[in-house]
Amino acid sequence: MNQGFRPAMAWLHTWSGLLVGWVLYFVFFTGTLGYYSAEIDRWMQPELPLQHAATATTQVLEQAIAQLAQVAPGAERWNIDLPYRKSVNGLRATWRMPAAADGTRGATGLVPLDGGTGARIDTRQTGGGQLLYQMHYRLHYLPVQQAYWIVGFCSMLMLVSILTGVITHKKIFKDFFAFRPAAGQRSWRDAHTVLGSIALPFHLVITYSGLVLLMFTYSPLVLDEIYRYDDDAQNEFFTDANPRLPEQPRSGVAAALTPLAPVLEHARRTAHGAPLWQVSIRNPGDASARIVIVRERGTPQSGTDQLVYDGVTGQPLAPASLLRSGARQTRDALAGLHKGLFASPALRGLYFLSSLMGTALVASGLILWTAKRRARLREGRRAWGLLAIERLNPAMILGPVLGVAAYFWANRLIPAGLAGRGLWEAHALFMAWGLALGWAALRRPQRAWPELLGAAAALYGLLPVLNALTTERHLGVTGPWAQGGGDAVLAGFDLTTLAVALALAVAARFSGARSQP
Amino acid sequence: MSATLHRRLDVSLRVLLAIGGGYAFATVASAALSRSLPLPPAQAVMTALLLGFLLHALAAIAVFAARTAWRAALWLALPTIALAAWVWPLGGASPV
Repeated sequence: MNQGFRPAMAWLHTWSGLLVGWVLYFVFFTGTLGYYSAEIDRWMQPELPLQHAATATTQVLEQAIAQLAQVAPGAERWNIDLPYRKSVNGLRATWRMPAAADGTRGATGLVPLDGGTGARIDTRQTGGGQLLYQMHYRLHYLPVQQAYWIVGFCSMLMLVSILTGVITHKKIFKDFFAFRPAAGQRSWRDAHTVLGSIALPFHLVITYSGLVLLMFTYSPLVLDEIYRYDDDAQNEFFTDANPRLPEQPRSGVAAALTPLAPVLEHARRTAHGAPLWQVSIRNPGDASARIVIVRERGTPQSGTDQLVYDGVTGQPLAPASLLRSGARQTRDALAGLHKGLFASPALRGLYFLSSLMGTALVASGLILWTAKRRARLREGRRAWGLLAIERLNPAMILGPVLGVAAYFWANRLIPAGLAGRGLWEAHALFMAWGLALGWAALRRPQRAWPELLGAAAALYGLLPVLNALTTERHLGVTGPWAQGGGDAVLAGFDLTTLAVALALAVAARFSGARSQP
Repeated sequence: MSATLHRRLDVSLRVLLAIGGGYAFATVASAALSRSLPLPPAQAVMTALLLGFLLHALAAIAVFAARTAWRAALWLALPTIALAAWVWPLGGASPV
């Protein structure tokens, strides 16, 4: 280890990356899909109508509230996310029940609504894009706290990997223009460097902000130091740190909700033309009801600008903007940057591309490790570690890709009315991954790569066909050529799967051709 | 001791130091920061927590940059113990 600073950093970079590379790859992959989780949600609920012009008139909102009142009376809050992002139609109406006496959070649920009318629609039960998004920090089949610690551990090593990667590649800007294609190990190395340097700021910010999002989980002792070991005092910290409305206890006196129209009118006037993001009703049906309206600001700190009204009288209550400390604003900005909810469609596309590059960065690092050792391996020697990772890499890199395709197939193939079908969609994801693992264990890696790539290409390529056979939301109806102008989100989904299939097929051909003797 | 075994021991020690020692250092340093920053308590804690991850990453880098693992252990242990003694003095509020 005493061979100098830069080689030591190169060593640290390699091993910290390899140790958690497979988990990081899954986290990056599902997180990337998360930027389009709302679009995926819609595709996975084909019962929803084709896209209307997003309007969210007062009438539609009142209709939505009437539906919530039917589905979730006695809820602690009803939230209605407005279709401010023009690309995704549909109001998102969710509810949350009050917390139990022992402090466990109340149950939550989603009411699928027609974005054009606010009417309720019975959709198939599905985890949707939300579940894929959640997998990137909650994984699956694991208790939440354990998953947080696993993801946090891996993210910490990612942070170390990024820092040491920069130290290792002092010529990072020169390397940027130095891609040497079809040169085996050298190409993987170049690809890894180029992917790492193009989106370096993104990788750094996304990793750091990801850790910051869960920092109270990771550093409980620091909080203890100031607020001691006392739950009441720690609650006080969260109140100090998040100057939000004090939670209003239910009064127990029933009271009707004020008409929404004047409240919305006031909110729109106060927002100075900024679109409204969310209407939230706390303690609906109670005399202590509050209506909280969040407006969109188009910055990473969106969602922090709240207007509060008395839910019974409709009178505005709090000042339009809550005071926030510098530290709190920094955290909010980092959290906002991580989630990218504020982003316009073009910026969201860049988020997606950068995140895809992060996914490819981790994958290329994993492949580079084996290619480098394979090239150095002396004739006749066996290296079991190398052989194992060479065999597992195709399954660990293509497994999630195949798994998500299986998840989409399961969404169309499992009967819409089946109880617990959402769970089985997720099982399908991991079963496909398991099959990929079995296959990769049996085949030589040179074969496993093109075969698994080919299988993934087929699954994605046939998805629009399956969609046409099982739903009324296929390209014939959703494409821009259809009567009524189609539906950009649904057509975009199907066309994306075709493009993905094409890319996978090209990759399959390429890797198959190279493995020929 | 053979050279391979020596190297393996050195690397294992550094890995343990970077993960466990780095975490301990980052936690104690953040706690010390949250106590000493001239800010209201909630803001000081938030700021210290934000910086904690960078402290951990830098500690890990330092552990692998040190000439020997023992030296790294020493350099990490000294500030950690010193800060811990200041933040959690014996007889003060204990974590249990």
